[in-house]
Amino acid sequence: MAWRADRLEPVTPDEHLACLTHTNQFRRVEVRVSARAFLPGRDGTTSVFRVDDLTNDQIWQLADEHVAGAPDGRPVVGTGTLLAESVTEAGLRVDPDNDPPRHAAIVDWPADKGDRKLRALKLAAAARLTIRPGL
Amino acid sequence: MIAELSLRPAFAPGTCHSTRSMSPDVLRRYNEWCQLTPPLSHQEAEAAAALKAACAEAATDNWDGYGAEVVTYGVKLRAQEFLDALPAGVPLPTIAADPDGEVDFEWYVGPRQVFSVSVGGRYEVAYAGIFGANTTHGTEFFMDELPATVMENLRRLYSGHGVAG
Repeated sequence: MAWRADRLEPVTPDEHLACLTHTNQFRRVEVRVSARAFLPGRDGTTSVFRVDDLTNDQIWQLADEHVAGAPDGRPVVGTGTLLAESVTEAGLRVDPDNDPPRHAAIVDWPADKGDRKLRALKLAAAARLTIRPGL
Repeated sequence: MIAELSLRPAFAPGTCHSTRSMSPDVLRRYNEWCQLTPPLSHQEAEAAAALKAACAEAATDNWDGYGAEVVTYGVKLRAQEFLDALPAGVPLPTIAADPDGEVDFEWYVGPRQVFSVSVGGRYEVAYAGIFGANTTHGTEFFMDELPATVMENLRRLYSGHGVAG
């Protein structure tokens, strides 16, 4: 099933999600995404993009346009990509909102910080790091 | 004793402290105190530098572009106290700011061998770990002594990896 940007489609378990990372959210030496990249922000969610059918260049373009280019946005230096089923396995849920296009949020984070950290560790263990070329 | 412990790294010799604004009496006492305090070991200095860098990176609100909270001076002091409480022989963790303004200490051996502790402004630490098929998480009271649970989980992580214990 091809992904359609003009409508919300449910997230399937085999779909790839990319978390766009800040400099302190990955470890270049160990080539891994840190759990910090997945911890929820002030709104209680973790921002991800649905990246199936996108090339790396298209992902960086998406990042520049909707993350770095947003008000108070920061440069995106890498991505942590994982399957949607990893989110479910961690007891969380992906809530697609398509705002901006392809955007979704990882939700249902527990209130307890230790529990949040454990789930973020699980997501990080399942994620594959891609560092932006030239950095 | 507690105050001395918390002040030691912040005023350790070799770190950058301006003495220009000190009165002669305070400067004399500061210099006397520096004589009494042993210099930081290489690992302590490295850890202090890593904490300083992590706090500097998170010194402004929204430092990650997703609304992350600033690491306050109080949290930085608590984080330094946590570092001070780590016994010799424990490997240096990766130190960075969490989006909620706490400081994260992460020990990583492999994708499923990782332990992480977050220190905030309160007298408690939150921790989580993955040890192969087993996991753990929780919260522990932390004043100035490393919680036994944290030490036990570090032993668990590094069993066979050279941590004295």
